Amino acid sequence: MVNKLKQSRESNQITQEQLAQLVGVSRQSIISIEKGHYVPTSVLALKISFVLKSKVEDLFVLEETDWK
Amino acid sequence: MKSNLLPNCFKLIGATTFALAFITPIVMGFINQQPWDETESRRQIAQTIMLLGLSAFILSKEKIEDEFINACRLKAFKVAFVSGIIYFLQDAFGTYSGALINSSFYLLMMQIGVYCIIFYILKAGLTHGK
Repeated sequence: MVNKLKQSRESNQITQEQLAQLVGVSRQSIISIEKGHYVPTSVLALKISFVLKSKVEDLFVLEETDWK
Repeated sequence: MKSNLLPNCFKLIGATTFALAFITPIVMGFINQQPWDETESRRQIAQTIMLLGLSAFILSKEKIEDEFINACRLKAFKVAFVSGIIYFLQDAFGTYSGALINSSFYLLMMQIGVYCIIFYILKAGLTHGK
């Protein structure tokens, strides 16, 4: 799964720390999600998309390998 | 997020307890001019306190508990559990000396050590695993 979290966060002019506080997680979690090391649960993905005013499917995009 | 772990302050308490239990017998050994592990009762007490300290350390909450920390913790426990089985099998069938009970301290120390290494590597984002 690829995500466009960093681009969306930067376009909303929100720092990692601010986003972490807004969705109630640690900054380390946001860093790991942005780097693609960690795939968030649906609840956290929905919270992030709400804060960034985006659709979940715009932020998190499935890859071909995710179907295998 | 509900969690049944100890409060975060137990991280410091556990680490301090472990360090003191590790250092004190060595210092006492130097003072008494006797290796600390040659005194059986002192060794057992120190080992028990070390295990209690480390257990408190790994069973306490992080400053911020979230799903990412929970995922790291679960992965670390999984690897530590499997490495414990491998250690036990190697001990039982590899270099069996009839001293499995005596090696339980080292088994637990190894498992806790593996847990700490894996947990903090995952938390720091040093892996590319998903």
